[in-house]
Amino acid sequence: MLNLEETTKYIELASKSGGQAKIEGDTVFITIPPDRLVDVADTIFNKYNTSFRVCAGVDERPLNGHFSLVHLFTDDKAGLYVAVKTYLSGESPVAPSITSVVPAADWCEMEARDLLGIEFTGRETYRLVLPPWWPSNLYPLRKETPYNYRPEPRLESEKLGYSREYGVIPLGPYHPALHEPEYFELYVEGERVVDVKYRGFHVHRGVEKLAESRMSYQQVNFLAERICGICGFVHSTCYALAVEKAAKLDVPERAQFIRSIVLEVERIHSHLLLLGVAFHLLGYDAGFMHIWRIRERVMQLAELLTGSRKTYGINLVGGVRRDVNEEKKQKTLEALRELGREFKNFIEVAISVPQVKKRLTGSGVLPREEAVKLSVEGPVARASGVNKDARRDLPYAAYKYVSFKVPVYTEGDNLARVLVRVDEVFESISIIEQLLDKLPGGSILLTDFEIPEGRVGVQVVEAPRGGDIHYVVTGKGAPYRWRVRAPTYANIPALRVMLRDQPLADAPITIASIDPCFSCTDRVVVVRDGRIEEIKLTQLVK
Amino acid sequence: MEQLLVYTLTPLIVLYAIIPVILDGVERKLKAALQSRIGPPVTQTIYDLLKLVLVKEIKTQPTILYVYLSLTSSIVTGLASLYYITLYALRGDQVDMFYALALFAITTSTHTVTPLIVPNPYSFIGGIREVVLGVVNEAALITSISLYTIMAQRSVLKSTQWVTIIAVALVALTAFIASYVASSRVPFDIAEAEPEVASGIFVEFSGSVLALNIYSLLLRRLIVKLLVLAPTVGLLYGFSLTGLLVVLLLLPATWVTYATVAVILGRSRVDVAPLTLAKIYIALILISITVLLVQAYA
Repeated sequence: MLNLEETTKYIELASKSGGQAKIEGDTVFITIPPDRLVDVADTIFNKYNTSFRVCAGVDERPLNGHFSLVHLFTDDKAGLYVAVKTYLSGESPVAPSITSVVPAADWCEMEARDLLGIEFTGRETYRLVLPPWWPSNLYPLRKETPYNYRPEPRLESEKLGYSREYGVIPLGPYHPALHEPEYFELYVEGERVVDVKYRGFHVHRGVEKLAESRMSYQQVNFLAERICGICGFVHSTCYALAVEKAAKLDVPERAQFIRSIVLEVERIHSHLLLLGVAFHLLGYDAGFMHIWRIRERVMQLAELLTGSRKTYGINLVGGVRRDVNEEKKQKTLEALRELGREFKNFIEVAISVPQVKKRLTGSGVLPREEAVKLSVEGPVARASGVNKDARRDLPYAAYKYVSFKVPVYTEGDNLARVLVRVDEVFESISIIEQLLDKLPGGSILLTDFEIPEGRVGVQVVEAPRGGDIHYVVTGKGAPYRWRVRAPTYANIPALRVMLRDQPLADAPITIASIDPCFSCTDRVVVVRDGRIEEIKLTQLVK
Repeated sequence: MEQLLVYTLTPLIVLYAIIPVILDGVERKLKAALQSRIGPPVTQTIYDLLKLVLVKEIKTQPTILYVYLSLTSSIVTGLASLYYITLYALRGDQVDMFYALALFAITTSTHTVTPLIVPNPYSFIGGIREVVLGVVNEAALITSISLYTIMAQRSVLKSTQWVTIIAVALVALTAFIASYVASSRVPFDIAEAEPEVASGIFVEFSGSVLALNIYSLLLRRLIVKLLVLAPTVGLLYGFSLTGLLVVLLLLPATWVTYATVAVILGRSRVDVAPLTLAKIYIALILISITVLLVQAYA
């Protein structure tokens, strides 16, 4: 049930700002003129203390001749989504930047600039997603750009930082501490990091364009699941829930329970994976091996419930494809008991290893005010004292039927982030047990439904790494616009704060502590003879 | 006696050249068992080194010739050091041990300097870490083993002076800690630190030069164990051929003990490990010297 008082303030804000507001389900849709955007964003983010999730540019020219820009906030205390929309010119879209009042909007604004050609005033602009050689007048997410159009690549490398003042240590794109290609440039004084530069988005896979151009609503579930190899089910659930919300579908309760069960299985798997990696980075390989041995049970559990050890493929718009029978239920409960016992016994030992404890404590600190300012997500936020969890604050699937604690620590260091995950493993086990106990009967899939055009659905699903958000504008047989923002997108900017003034040795564990999920890359910078050399793709191929 | 030495030492040097590779295989198997893994076969290190020697050489940097020279000299002086340790275990002549220590110091220095002549930031960082740790640890290792060698006389055990026994025990403890640290195992593998500095001192090496580097490290691991085992066995059994055999029998047990310690710990940091070690060493050596002074004046 929505709190009327809470929704009223948004309606009043829209009205005062010369715009209008409407409420649909748990979402407040506000439309305002561009010149009021900064003030409205300031009020919503800083006065109403909401979380900024992401912004999305939409090419609405085929519908109404305009571009639009939607800023998505969540009022976690009120359980509300707040979508602030502004229409921009169809010829030369320009929007005021809100980064002066919402620093977390930095990347999504630049992404809208790269992919849709929306210019932003009041801020420094740079290319974020597209490679430097990409033609400056070609915007992939504009409707007239074919999904399969590939400009001829010009093999150029970008010059990254040089420093006369400090030593430069390249961390990536290929580095044993990074399990996906990514580039951090660490500026060091001795073995102390004084500053960090980040370069990601080496290969933008273009899943949004593909879904909007070539796929049906149901096919996108499977594409969404392939966004991530670890929390793919979160993405497919988030997409399905967003579409179901937009189409106002009444999904069978049993399907929502199964989704929640599998989401928690995925969370346990992800946390165990990360804990193992963290121990490896700290040189405690026994911890890594034992945690991953325990993780194997979760893989088997996932196979039992979904038929796959990973990338489960059971989500559809309208429900799920696989049921849980009594035999699976009993086997799951038994496996969880064994998993919980083994994990408890081992993690107590692992966290007590002197070097592990010492190196996690007090390193990579993210103060609460920075965490709020950057709108970081998940365990990163909760370890810095930000008490938010979409499962509780914006309940979806079957989470409203279970009780669980949201672990919150105030230290903001690497140890706190590890402990949040450790606590969450136990909470997830408890959640699955409760869900299995309360599993209702009935069907698992809605089969006869229609998805009307022009509807909007926004959904946050609490992934193991934090809030994952999908924004869907429905179209004919497929999403007209599908915007995805994974939690790592929100957490990476915090690394600059966390890495500064830290020992170089702790840089990998600090980066790993946000449990990052990166994309792929095809270009490298090599330091040789003290100079940075550029290696071109053609040379690499040779 | 001289004839006996020739007969004993010639096959032993050959054995010393092979032992570290075999014991490293045992260590890997043991680690695997402690980590609930099957692990590679005991002979895996041999296969690894052979593979590295046989693969095509990729010369990644211009200082490769110096690296070869440096590593080769490290291995040669290491084997020479083992020769003198063996002599010491047989004859109990302290001069042999001092020769062994001097040669070991050269082995360590050349091994430590190697990554610093490689133009790669990770190699340099790893090399500097090794130097920082080495400054503290090698000093403690050489001091404690020198003292231990001087004290390791059978008469000590017959002494009724408890202070003497305490002093020897403290020096022995210092020597064992320093020898563990010098073996570059966790938590003191900060120069390599694979996930932190991309294997640091090894980052630019491949093929036969990497094989030499790994072999040099394994040989050092053997030397540091024998450096502490020889005086210990001399103290307990005396210096003789039997004593030498006991040293060789205790070697695998010591290797396994060091490996087990490494499994249960995590990696330290360059700003933590040397400082902590320095405090421990200074405390242990000061206490043992104080004890000896108290005894002398009493």
